[in-house]
Amino acid sequence: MRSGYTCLIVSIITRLMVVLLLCYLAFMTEYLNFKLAHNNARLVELSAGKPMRIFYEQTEKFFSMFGDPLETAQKNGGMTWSIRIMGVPFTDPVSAISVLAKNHRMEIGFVLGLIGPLALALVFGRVFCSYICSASLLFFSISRLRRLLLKWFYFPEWSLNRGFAWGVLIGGTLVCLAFGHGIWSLLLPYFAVGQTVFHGLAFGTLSVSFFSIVVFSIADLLLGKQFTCRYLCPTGRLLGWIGRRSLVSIRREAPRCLENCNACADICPMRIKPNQDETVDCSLCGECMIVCPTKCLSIAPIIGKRKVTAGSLK
Amino acid sequence: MFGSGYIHEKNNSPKFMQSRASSPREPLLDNTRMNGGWKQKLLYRVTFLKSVVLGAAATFLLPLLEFLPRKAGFKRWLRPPGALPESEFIKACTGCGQCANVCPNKCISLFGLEEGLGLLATPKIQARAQACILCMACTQVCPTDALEKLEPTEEGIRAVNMGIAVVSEDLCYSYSGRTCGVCYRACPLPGKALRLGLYETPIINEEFCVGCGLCEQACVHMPQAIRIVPRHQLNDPLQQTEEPTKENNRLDSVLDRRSFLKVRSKFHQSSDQVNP
Repeated sequence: MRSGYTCLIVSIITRLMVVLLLCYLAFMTEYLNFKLAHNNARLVELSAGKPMRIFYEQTEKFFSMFGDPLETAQKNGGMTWSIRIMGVPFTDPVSAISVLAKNHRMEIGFVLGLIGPLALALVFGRVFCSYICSASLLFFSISRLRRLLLKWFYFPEWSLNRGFAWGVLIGGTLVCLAFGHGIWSLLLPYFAVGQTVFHGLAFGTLSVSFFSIVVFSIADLLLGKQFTCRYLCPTGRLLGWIGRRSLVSIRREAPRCLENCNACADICPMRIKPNQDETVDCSLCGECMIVCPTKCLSIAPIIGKRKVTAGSLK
Repeated sequence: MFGSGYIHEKNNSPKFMQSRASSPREPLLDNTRMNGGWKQKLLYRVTFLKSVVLGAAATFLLPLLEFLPRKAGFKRWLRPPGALPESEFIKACTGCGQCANVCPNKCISLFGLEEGLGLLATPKIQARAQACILCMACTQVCPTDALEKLEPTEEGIRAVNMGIAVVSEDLCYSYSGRTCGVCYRACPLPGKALRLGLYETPIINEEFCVGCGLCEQACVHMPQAIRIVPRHQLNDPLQQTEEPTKENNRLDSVLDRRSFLKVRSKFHQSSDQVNP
């Protein structure tokens, strides 16, 4: 695939769909409640109004396609952290680590849920970060805002060593080991977004995770573009490490690449250098393909040995 | 030739497009290949380890949030049905919220920081607001088996242990001669967990009561005359062999008549303020 715009648009659409899915799952409790209490569209309209009736009827229609609507609806649930869609479980690797650290054992369904995310990371690398992560949509828009504001203001571009995110992962696991409870809903941006959406739509309250989202957003705006994704998010670091030899990644046609151009390395939200054949941590967002003047970059399967640079090991 | 032309173009590009690679905060090693020398490798490793320690230390400071001043929360919350014992439950629960998501009764909500960091994102039920109807949907979906799988049959219901109902005889209408019996009609195990005496006075059988809280939700008296003492506040008679500590001795204080009277007078004051 050569067009960076396609990647960008597809990534925005998929992330929007994930956010909408989270909102819908949080709102689905309402449908379940109506189904159990009334089981009748007219009664729903009388008790909750016309929009609710439409919501109820459409949801009923959709879930009826797969069998009993109540049972099918209850096959979905959770957040990006640990989610079931039509009965298929998906587990975050960090959540598996935390359960191992706290409980010293894992259920078989939980382990099976790891297959999907790990396979995705092994084939496409860190693709979770720019196609699925609900928080990265927020950070993406903040990086655009930052780019706009840079016309008038000066923001520094900080960089930390990438060991910091490993440290966050180790620190969170140590908290699990030492205290027997996790603090991941404050540490992980996508979990915090899930909690905030769920608290807001299902209970109508403001989750404490919202404040960690605010902190992450401020860090993103002031310290660097997608600062959280690069240096603070332990999941991104872990997935980047798992997918460091991913099958599909960004590929450069060396003869067409310009020397001293550096446009791709400047635009890259993960601050990797495609012009030096660096592929670790690439989330396939496609920004470098847009700015490349000779269009020598493409997303393609990479077979064979990879160059290892100092940056890619960090 | 071609390359230099591009550089000229790039310098004319707006400020935000220009390279920031030469900023002074850029790490020294960023552009260097790993095949430098052993000194560079060592320097790189030391920087990396420093960052790891820094990150771990920064994260380990977060539990200090526990010491933030906070309002006294609502202590009498219940866990969803089938929950493991409290200490094991906290270890097993990941806070994914699937139980709250499938609850058709909207009785399960998730904790914030109001009860401390340990309970963050774990599920709770407040019986007076919305009690559990024991449909067992949450137990079926829990991915880590923090909620044991139960069926919504009578056997499944009997296996639930969320707490035990306690009647405050001073508040109950039936005990003061005005026949009520609402709690009996709400009970999922009527005649077993909750029997009726003369004038429909509720009598709890602790052996059968699962603590679902339907009686507490249904109670027509304000404040409720029947309430669930949650399992984590309950002095389990099966674990009486342990030395009584502050933690497991809490039921005595809850069931203590004096404290009940204190609670009652407090509730009376508050209800007087609301409804003089």
